[in-house]
Amino acid sequence: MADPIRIRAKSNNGLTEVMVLMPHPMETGLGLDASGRGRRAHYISDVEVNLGDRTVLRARLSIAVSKDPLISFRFKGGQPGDRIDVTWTDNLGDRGAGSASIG
Amino acid sequence: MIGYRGREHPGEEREFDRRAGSIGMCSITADAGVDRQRRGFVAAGGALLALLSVGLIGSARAQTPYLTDLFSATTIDDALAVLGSIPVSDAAVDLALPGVVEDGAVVPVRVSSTLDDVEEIYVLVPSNPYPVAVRFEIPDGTEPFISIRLKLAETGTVYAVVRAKGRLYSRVAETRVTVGGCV
Repeated sequence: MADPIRIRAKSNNGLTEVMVLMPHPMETGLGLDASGRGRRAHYISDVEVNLGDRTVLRARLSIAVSKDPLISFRFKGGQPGDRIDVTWTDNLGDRGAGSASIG
Repeated sequence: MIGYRGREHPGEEREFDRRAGSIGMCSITADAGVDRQRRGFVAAGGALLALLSVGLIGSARAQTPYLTDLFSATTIDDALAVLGSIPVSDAAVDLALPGVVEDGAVVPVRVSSTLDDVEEIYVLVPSNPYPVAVRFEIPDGTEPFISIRLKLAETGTVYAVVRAKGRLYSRVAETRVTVGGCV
């Protein structure tokens, strides 16, 4: 359903820089729609980034994260060609996954 | 670094004690009934997530109740009570965000630290309806460096809180929002 996760991972001097973009409405549930009804909250709540068996980042997001969450971080290790896996779960139980090779 | 500021406030621990005065422009638009519905829904979502995280994410740490309490806190005091202590202001934590933002819906925030053994990074926005915006778990080998885009309901302070060797450290910065971001 959701657009694919976009991942950019680049290895540089033993450090891998990762940028993850997860298309998602990140609806707060606080506003009203055009007809004046409350919108339902719909947001990514959990994100996990793995390099093989190793978890390199775990995040808990809230409604305060902008639409289409964009997260950047760095970890030690990772070789060009290694696979980075990203998974997310939202508050309605939808899930998304994507992967990319380190460049 | 032009256009960014990450300043230290001498009285920032006191600032933490200040209750977030208004609940933010967002909830003013929702009437009480909608608000109750939403809260009920959020609670149901939390329960569902608890089940999901046991079964699917399989985290060994029983941290879901802690995180649920933390993220459902509506004041900075409540959030700090869940975190366990008042963070100490420390220049070893760096917080960068624009001094003025036109659109509060997309505010880039970057947190980094020179502390060793950073375990967690939080970003708290006292003026948002729910002050805890995001929490990162930093495993061994991951740098204490995070950047993310957040919604800010209104002009105000933003706190970066870092847990290292079990202790909490913080840094505060201020940003002026010309159009609120809780839409």
